[in-house]
Amino acid sequence: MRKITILALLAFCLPGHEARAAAPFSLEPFRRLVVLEQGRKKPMDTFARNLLKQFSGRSTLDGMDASAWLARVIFTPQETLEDKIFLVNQPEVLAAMGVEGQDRGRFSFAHLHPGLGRLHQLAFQSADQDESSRGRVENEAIRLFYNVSAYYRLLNAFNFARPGEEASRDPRNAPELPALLPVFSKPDEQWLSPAQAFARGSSLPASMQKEISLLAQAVQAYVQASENDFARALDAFSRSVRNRLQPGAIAADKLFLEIFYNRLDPFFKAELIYGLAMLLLLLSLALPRWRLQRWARLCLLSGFLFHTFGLAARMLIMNRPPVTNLYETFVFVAWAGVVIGLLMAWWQKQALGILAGAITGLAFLVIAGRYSLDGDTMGMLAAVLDSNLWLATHVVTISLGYAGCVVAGIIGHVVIVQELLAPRSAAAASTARPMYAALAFGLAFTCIGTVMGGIWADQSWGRFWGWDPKENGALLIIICCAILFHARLAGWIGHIGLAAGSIGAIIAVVMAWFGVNLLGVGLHAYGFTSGAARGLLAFVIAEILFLAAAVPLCKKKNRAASNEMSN
Amino acid sequence: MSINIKRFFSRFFRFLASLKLTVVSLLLLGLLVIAGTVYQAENGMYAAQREVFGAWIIRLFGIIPLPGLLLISLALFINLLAAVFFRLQYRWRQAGLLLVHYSLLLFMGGGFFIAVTAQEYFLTLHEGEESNVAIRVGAEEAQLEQNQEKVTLPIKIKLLDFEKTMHPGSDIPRSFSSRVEIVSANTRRRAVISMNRPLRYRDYTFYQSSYAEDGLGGESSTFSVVRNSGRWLPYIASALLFLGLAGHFLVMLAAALKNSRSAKVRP
Repeated sequence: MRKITILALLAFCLPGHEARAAAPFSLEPFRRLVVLEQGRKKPMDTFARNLLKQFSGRSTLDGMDASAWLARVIFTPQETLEDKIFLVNQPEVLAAMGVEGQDRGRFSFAHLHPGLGRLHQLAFQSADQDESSRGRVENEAIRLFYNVSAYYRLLNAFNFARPGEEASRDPRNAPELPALLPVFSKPDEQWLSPAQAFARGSSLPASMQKEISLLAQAVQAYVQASENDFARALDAFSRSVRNRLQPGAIAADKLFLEIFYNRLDPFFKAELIYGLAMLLLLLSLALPRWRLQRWARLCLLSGFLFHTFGLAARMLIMNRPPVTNLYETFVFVAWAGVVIGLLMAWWQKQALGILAGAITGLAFLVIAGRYSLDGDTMGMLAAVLDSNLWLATHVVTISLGYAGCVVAGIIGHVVIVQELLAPRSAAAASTARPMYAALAFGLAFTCIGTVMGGIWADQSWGRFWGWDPKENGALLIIICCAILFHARLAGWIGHIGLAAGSIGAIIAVVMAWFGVNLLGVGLHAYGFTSGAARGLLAFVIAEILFLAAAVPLCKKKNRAASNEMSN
Repeated sequence: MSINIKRFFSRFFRFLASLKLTVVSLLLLGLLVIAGTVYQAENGMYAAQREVFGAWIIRLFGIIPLPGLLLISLALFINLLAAVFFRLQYRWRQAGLLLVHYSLLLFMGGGFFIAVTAQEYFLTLHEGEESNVAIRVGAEEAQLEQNQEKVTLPIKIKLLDFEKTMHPGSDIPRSFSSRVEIVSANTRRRAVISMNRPLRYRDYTFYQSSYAEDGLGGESSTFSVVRNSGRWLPYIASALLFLGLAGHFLVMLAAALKNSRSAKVRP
């Protein structure tokens, strides 16, 4: 109902557009305002970033960072109507809205505005449909409508502070973003947006009325580009909110750390550096005289430092072990893969270690980056998962097991390629040894992690094993590795077979890791996007095709080579 | 004649302990786990337990009989037992791997013991209600109340209050907990059962399982009640597995260090 009212309002109050530059002064006091979103108290900077990523798939707009963008949206809304911030992945949605646009791209609110009535209708009809029967266009319509209405609420968030604007005194019509003002009503803590608080009027305690007027002063100061007044008003606001909360409810050092983490964007930097490491390594193989391998190793190491800082910062900010959600499994497995690669590089296998580490790090950080577009990656934990002890043991060990199997599979590709280029060469045999070790590492940690999961389940739900899909997935990895080791022991497979089997283990890992989430049952099903499902399927098919083509060819060449030798 | 019989038996035991049997059983087990997971996604956890994971024989498309999980597990168990007796080498180098295989025997044996002996019930209480009658899991699917298998627990549980808290400003549950009173023959004591913190009473364990709101402000809480006298078995098996893996890792590490040292010295 609320969305309908908002859309009805929308049709009336579209202000005109006049251009003005972004704030020429420091937005630090704005960045460190505390916002409550999805149960977490976070700096405005993170809120802005998540919002802009969710809208546009990027964390900056025309060189402006997300906080600067959000400040413009809420303080000087008219200036942002032409900003191209709404990413539309399915152009059919534009056609359905009756607005121009042939391709996937980013569009401004002003551009989409004439079609919003139709978008609203489409989105609501789509939302009424069963989730499984919705198509791509329906889902995109819902997403776009959700984003546009969030933006619209932000446009009107500070209307009460602008002279000449009508602000509703009815709390139901007040935009509920961003939630800046805590109130304590039993049984739960609740946070109001400035507009909601304003609409409550004289029923508010004096301290909150003061806070609202401070926010209004900040709006004025921003519009008049008066840096000192802006900082003074927002800092006074933050102090007042903090005084009303329990001591320690907002840790200032963690806010600073989070803002620094946002600005550094360590995982993105690590991703780029890993990519560079891989390029340098490939170049070094082509041009051995240039001695590029040392530089590749240096790159991998420096990417690893960013990566490690990112992990550590998140642990400090959330007071959590490194892995608590699907996003963090990607980041952590990438990290563990780099650790294994670095260890291998240090332990004789220089080039192979760098290659395996850089590929694992790069691939999973890219997936993590995609996944982070869905919203805050530091979400609160649901009650079932809320146990630091088990998150630190079960989840970490099982992720290490995944990393071991993935690295083994990557080396498996190298072994097969080496066998294709030079059958029965010493190079392939020597590459196969670290593959064997990585697979053993993967099997051992998957076993330990699975057993710890069983203990967690027994402690918390009264059963050690329940054939939950995620448990089955882990069991499948174990079975896959166990088959390989026993077949190898019996002498039925050599290193080509082991290499092919390691690639099979990667498939088992990705199925166990997020394939079972696609089935959507059980305790571990934490939602997954359909685009990811297609990517996963494409990956599995590509690997199977690779195996089907390369392994028989390998065997043939191998036989030919051994015939030659015996002749 | 006796030579023939002897030869037959030695061949038979060699087959039972063979790697061939291991690999074939593991392959079948893997396929069955995949099939069972897919079946479960379509037909639910309980049906999958009954038709696949708790079955000796499964019938593909209702006709073609195939070995079920129990049969394959039995084959693996016998294979493992025979391997432990006849095939595995009792040397210090192999000590870790031996422990790992023993732990697997204990996991499978323990799992079978628990599957046969452990019982799981549901106990649903409204706020203020006191009861010691729980319903067998799976039986709640029975349409008629008299068909539900019931059991009387040694203690009565009274639900004083159920509390659900959410992370503020979100729909993410922060905690579920039930304040209860435990009524045994001559004592009454208060306790809290919450997510990840069960209540244990002798060999019974009470877990916070689900809740319901009746729309009038009243709440009910459902506990899963597990009676499992073999609960400690997987713990011992886990300890053996950890020890075995750690031991084998140390053996391998020592060998690798020795190798790399001698490799460095020799050239």
